Amino acid sequence: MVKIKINGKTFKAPEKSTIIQVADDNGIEIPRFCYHKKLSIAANCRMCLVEVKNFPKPLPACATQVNEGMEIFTKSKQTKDCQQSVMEFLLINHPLDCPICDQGGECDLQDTAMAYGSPKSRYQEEKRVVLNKNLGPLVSTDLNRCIQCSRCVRFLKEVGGMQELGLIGRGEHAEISAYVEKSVDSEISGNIIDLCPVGALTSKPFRYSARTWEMVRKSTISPHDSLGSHLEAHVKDGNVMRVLPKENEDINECWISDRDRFSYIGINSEDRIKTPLLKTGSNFKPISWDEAFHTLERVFHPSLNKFKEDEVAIFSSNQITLEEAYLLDKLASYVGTKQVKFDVANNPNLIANPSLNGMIGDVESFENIILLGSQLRNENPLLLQRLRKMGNAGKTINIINTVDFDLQLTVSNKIIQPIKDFQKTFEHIHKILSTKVAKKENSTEKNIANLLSEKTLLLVGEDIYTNPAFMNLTNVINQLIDLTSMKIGCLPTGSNSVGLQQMFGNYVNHIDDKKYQASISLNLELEDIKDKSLFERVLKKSKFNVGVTPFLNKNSKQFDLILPSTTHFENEGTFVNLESRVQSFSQTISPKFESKPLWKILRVLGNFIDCPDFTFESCSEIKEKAVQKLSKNKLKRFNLINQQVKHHSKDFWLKDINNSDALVRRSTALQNTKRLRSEK
Amino acid sequence: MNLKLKKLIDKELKKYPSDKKQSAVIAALAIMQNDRGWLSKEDISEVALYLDMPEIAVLEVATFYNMFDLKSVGRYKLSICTNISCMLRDADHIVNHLKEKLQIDFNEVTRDGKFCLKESECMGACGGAPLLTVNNQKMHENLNIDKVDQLLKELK
Ligand code: SF4
Ligand code: FES
Ligand code: FES
Repeated sequence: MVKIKINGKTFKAPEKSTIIQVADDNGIEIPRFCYHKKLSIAANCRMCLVEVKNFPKPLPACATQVNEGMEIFTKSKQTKDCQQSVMEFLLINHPLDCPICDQGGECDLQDTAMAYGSPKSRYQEEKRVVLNKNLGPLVSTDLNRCIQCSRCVRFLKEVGGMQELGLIGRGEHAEISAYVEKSVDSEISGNIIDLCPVGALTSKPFRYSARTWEMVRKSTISPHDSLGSHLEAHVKDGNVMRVLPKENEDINECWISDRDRFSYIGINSEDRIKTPLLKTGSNFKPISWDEAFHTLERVFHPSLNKFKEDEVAIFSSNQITLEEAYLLDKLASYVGTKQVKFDVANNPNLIANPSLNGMIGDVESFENIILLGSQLRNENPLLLQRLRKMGNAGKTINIINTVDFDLQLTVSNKIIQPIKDFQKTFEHIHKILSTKVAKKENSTEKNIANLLSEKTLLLVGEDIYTNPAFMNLTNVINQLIDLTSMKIGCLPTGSNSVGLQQMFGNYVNHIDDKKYQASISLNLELEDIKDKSLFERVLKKSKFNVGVTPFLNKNSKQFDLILPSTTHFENEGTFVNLESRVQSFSQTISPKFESKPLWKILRVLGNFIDCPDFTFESCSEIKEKAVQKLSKNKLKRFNLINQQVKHHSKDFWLKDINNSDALVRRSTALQNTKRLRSEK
Repeated sequence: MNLKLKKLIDKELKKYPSDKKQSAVIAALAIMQNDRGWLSKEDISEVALYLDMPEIAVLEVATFYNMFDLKSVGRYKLSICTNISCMLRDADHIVNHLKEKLQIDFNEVTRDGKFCLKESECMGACGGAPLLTVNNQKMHENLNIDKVDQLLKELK
């Protein structure tokens, strides 16, 4: 710790911290453009100049480390003069077109000019013109407004992992550009919109549709991956106008993925179902909710239709909330079925409690990561971003996978092989460590073996821990845990995979291939389902199929009754993220048309068929009950459950980040991006 | 990129650690330009590929330094300094004379493909202001109209 003085007041500051960090920590304002706490220091805008005692010239606060006894003045005449001059300089080529700029009202340049600039401009000459670039369907450019802070360039290079933008030219001619007619294709590219301190990079889909002060901010949790990113939906006239990150250092930091940012566009898709629909012949006719529930009553009420054991099949997405899962669990046992597939994106579960086992931030405290089979870039782009940070900091990232995905990070050791060979690889690693035979060996396995210690984290992707071949792996991995005290974790992908897992622990996430009396599908489309043919076969043979979904799609024809549920943004509830963190969210807008949140549909259905203990008045009341049912076991070793499930698909399912759920699939902007099939 | 160029670049690469290939980017671009006369987008992509760098990062370097030409520059590229010392020593007068005589503006090439005129920043040789260089290689100092005319005559 060192002692410094800012404006005459004494502060203690950690050694090597910069003036701007100390000022930020203590609530002292220093204006800045190029500095961003998550990016490297460029010190090229000069807005943060401050006077420091005994230095003849002002110093950039973002690039100057504090020293014992330093005296800094953020409000002195010299500082103020600098701020005014820099501001004037930055505005020389700025078009001052705030009235037609999307950033107006939330612009750092505007705010800083008001607070620190001079009220008058002396500049009379011509301003330069920079042609706009087409960076793709998400980010729109107005490069006349750019002040060359280079935040966007540094973000894509350091956080995105691939420098897709650059500052070309020099001095007066410098401009932001992608390489010759290329677009920006990073899966987290939307963050440059937030980073740009001016209106040079704005959201293409949101452009010209609302002003910041017209919108109400509603918090929610991302439904698109298992991280549970905190989002802020900006709402105007009952519509989500845009989605921004809500800073949460433990989870998403200040970023979100493009899928989180632009999925809202799907809410108003033409496919939205307006009223319940009943199949009559080969057509559907709109009916009222009352009629719909009476139809369900006729099928599911035990006094009208007594099912034998396991005569109802239930397919559910892994994005349904904890409350919905709780109600579903009750309903399933009421109609006497254990045929519930609560995570249709996966094979039946093989191991107990697949979750991260630790906090997201803790991942970064390890020295070595071994990533065993994951499509991280398509599944969890923000977790990948943390690994990238670790790679940049000199820690080792090691990969064992079946496909050579380009993760855009520094990889120390890589083994690409068919899954059946994983066992051999791990056994070999075990042999290297437990015997002395392989002392002189020079192999990737040896390199990895040498890294195993309590500072090593083995992360297993969903493709692997749900694959039957994993059963042969658990033993040797457990031995390695005993031998080296390395830590393990799993990477589930659904926003509520862990919650569902903990709620439905006594089901196997599996449906038999047989004839059922009825089936129920919850918020699903065929694209979401791993075993598509099983799903189609079951629906074909089953007598009565209920589909609860916000959107019509190709396979809607298979349903006899369709009930319009809401999208995530019109729903409230609770997700459990991959670190078992329980996070609740509320509605951001009211349901469109006559759609209803799934939990309400299940709740009313329960009443219609006289399911006992179904008197919940609110979502939070259900939550109270639901969280009690969550198992709290930790993942320390891999314990096998369900050894002999049939119909286990061995196939590898390549995921596409922009095809991950119904909402994302209907976001036109996301669908127009280059598909991120990132294997080499 | 032919073998000869690769060899030249490899020689530059030896000066840096093997995981810091991008250190050789300026040298590699210069080698390319000496061979081709100027740098096309394809040349830049080739350098990027060879040095394992993002293309845009190579383009940044190529556009930052004045001596790299991203368009054809004719047989003789005349780069004339217009920065402060040269300006005070009336570089503008020389510039206007050249423009008139060659019938071109900055960054243009004469119709016969012989001359190209470039505006350059301070070359750190203000003592000889005003000055220009020919093809980045030869510097002509203390210019006046006669000297310029003489130079144009000599460049065949
Ligand atoms: S576009 Fe925005 S973020 Fe990028 S350099 Fe310009 S002002 Fe900075
Ligand atoms: S914020 Fe310090 S120079 Fe830009
Ligand atoms: S100003 Fe022309 S050489 Fe320095």
